[in-house]
Amino acid sequence: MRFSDVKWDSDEERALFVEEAVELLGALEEGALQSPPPMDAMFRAAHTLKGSGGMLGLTEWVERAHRLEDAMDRRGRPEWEWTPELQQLCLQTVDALREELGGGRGEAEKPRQAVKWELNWDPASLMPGVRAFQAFTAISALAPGTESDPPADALSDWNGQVSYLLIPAQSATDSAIQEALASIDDLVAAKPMVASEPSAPQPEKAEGEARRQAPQVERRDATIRISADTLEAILEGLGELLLDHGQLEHQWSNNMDPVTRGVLDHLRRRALDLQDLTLRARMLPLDTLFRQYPRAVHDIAQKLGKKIQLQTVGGETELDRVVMDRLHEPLLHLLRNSCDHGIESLERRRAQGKPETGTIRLTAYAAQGHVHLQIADDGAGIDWQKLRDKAIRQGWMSADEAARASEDQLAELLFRPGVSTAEKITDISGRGVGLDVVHAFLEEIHGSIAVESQPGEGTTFRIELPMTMAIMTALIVEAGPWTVGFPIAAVERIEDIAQSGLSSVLGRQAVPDRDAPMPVYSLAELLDSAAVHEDRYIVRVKDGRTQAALAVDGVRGQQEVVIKPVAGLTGLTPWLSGVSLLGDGRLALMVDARRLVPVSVGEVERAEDDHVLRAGSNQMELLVFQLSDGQRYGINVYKTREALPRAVITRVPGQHDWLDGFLHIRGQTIPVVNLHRALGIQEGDEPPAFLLVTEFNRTVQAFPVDQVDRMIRVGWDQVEALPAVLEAGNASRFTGLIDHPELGPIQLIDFENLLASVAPPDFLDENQTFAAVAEDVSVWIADDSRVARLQVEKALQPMGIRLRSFTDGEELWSAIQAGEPLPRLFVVDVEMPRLDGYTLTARLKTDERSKAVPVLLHTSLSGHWHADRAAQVDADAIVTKFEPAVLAETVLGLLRAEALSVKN
Amino acid sequence: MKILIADDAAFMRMRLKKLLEQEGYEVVEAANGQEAVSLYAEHHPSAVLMDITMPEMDGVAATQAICQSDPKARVIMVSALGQQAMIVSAIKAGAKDFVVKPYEPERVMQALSKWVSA
Repeated sequence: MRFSDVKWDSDEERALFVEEAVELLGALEEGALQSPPPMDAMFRAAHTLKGSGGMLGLTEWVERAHRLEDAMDRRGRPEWEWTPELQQLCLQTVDALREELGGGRGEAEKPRQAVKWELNWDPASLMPGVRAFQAFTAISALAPGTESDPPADALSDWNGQVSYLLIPAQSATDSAIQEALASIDDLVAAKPMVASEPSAPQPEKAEGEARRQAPQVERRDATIRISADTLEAILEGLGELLLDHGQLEHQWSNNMDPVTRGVLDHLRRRALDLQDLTLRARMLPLDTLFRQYPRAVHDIAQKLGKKIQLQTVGGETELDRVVMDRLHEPLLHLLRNSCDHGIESLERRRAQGKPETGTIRLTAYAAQGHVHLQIADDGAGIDWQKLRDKAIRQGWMSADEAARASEDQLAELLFRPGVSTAEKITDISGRGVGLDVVHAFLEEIHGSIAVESQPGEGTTFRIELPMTMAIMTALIVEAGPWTVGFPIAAVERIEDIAQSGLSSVLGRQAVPDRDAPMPVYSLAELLDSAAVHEDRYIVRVKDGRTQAALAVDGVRGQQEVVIKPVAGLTGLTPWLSGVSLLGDGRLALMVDARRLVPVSVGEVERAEDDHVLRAGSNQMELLVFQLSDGQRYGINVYKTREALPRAVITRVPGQHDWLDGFLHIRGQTIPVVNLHRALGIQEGDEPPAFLLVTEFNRTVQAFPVDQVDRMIRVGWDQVEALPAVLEAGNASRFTGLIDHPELGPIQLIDFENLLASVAPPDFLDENQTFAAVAEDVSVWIADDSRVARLQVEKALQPMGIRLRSFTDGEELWSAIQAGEPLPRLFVVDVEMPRLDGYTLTARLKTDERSKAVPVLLHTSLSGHWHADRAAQVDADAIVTKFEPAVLAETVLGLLRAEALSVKN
Repeated sequence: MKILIADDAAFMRMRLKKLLEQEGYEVVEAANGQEAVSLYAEHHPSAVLMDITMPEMDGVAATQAICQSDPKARVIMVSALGQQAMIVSAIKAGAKDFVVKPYEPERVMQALSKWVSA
């Protein structure tokens, strides 16, 4: 059989064969022309050619290759010699095999003789690609079959200065071509190229020779395989080049003439471009890895007697080869884990009404300089109770801690060595090794992993990987004696410490941020508490869920750095991702902010906000404080801005009895409300030591408190509503009570109510009339604050709305479950005892019966994080307390929209 | 000599018109692709200066229609940066040349004289 007769399974297979054969033939040819020839390599090439040809059943091919191999096989013997005859045999074989390869391309594809024209474009041309396309169009009209390099369909995106046209020989005269090109703008020069190879032995035959040498390789698709080490060396070299550049710049920074500056800048740009190209050359689509998993999962499933299919999505996502090489094992671990622990047995799936075949989805996508991977199964989910038991048995948690541990805290345990929730050990997984290995690997490459699980619905592992490992743009700062770099992607802002609004919150330095004060750490102190330093700037970093402000001595600016890993130190200094040599020869420590910022209780909770305190988790964070009566009180952390030490308060004549006065802070005047008087508590002898600055109901106000305890996380279901007797009296200033296992009873103050007493909200302007809703419309409202309910009533009743009030989420939810007729709209407060507004909304929106009814979240919490959470639970609208006009308008809008959709 | 200007922006048409009239051309104006196609059939201008983004029918479609009815039509695209792919389609459809907005008056005249005098 001949090459042209081979039936290929895929184009890929054919391409691979051709690519490899061309390479081997090239090696043979090149070798034959050397002296002495690399006989071993040539022998191997011939042998491989024979072998691959044999696989395809290419009889003549194999015979030729065999003859050559045979001739070289005796090379070890003393009498053997590399003769011109042998060289000839070698070259003839190469030619013959090339011929055969070329014959396989079919008539149409056979490269015709063509003259290559080089077109030079004006560097100032705005769209050289389109110009090149214009040239291609013009010449194609003249000489059909003309090809463009770069290819015509890639020209619209092309931006270069030299393009080529392969014009079929003898199809047009040079002058005709020149003439056709003359009308094209921006074309500086066009000339036919003399096809000559400097190394060609016989120049006069060069053209024919050159064509014979490589007729099979399509020029534009030419690929070269290159060893990873070579790429590494190129990267390294480029890195050094950039360092040299940095050094030059450093040396001459004071007296550099514009010309030198221009050349240096150009040098740097070029080096960066090359670095970029090289890095990209190292990127591979994840498919190269993913391809092998469906088979692996199939095999594992068979062993386990399960049916599992693997779906992969996003295989085109590219990842640095260096990362990918090391990703295989951990990923396989996770897949095994999902097969073994995630997906249930056939019987169990059947019994639960699930499809027999379990599904694992492996998804990849790139975002923000990271590659994200998800491994999601539709299996049983993690058995949290079993994990709790395990945690207690292993002594990781006390029974009490285990009972209170959140799912995320428990999930972290999964990555400890020796954990497995599987009942018995199988040979697939379940020996408790695996997840800890995965975790260790991710730590090492500065990635991360998280897990989410819904009982009965499945488990999802989320992995974040750095896209490349070698080069990054870093912000270089000085901290004490050290020079430190952060990935620029993690840097949010740099500011002068004097202008940063630095203040003390809960006894710690902090700067104001969007949602809450952000803790400030001195970078030098983090590195070594004894370091001498003088903090002058604040660098705010944000990396994944870690957010912190770091005080540094100086900021050196932004630089491209080549990161060199530090062997053996990762265990001791987990935050150190490597070191970089800077232009001035100094060594910068490259820092992984996520592992540097200290982990304290508050931090962990805040860092994991978006995760743990997801909307619908029915949890909140409470700042616990004390008043002079020694009792504990709580306020939702998201209502607080900061806690200040006692400050000067300006009294104003004629102010409300509860007001202490006003506080001037950072250009803002804030009313200070005396909680003692408001709550009817005897004031202490000492004035309260702290001022709690809060923000809610769209206003900022401060409350003096005697002591700030700490932040705790509590479930809304732990909040007991107050007895109805108390609620009935106007005197009630509390929304609920929590019996905390450590702190004892904590009373939740109804801050909105308090505020309403001091500064009553504006009610609807009498002149502002809203069209009464025609019919008798029923709206349900859930709000634990009596004042809030009253306010809503006042705003909505003039519109002809019939309101039914519930004092918390649970009460409303019970009414739904009792099957009571549904209202046309729910108005839901966010913070409520027992069942909070997010969770209630999530339930309403998943319940078959109620999901069509619009939900309006009515909240005193402001800030973008709240909007995020509200969006998570599909609330139809969010209105901030308390803006009656906005509320009325929004309600009206929702009712109209709902009426419309009902009609349709 | 008649030149057809197709551009949905009246201001652009005005500027081009002024420029062309100074050079002694006669100008026909179209405010969209559809209009350009019918005005082309009516006037058979020596050349068309065609904007790409226009309502009703865009410049590429209009170019296609015009070049189909008259393969000798000289359509010159007037486009903004970033519309490379559109110009390439226009050239495939038969456009002869293009000018990139914003342009120097000479650029337009240069392109025009190249094709109109030919």
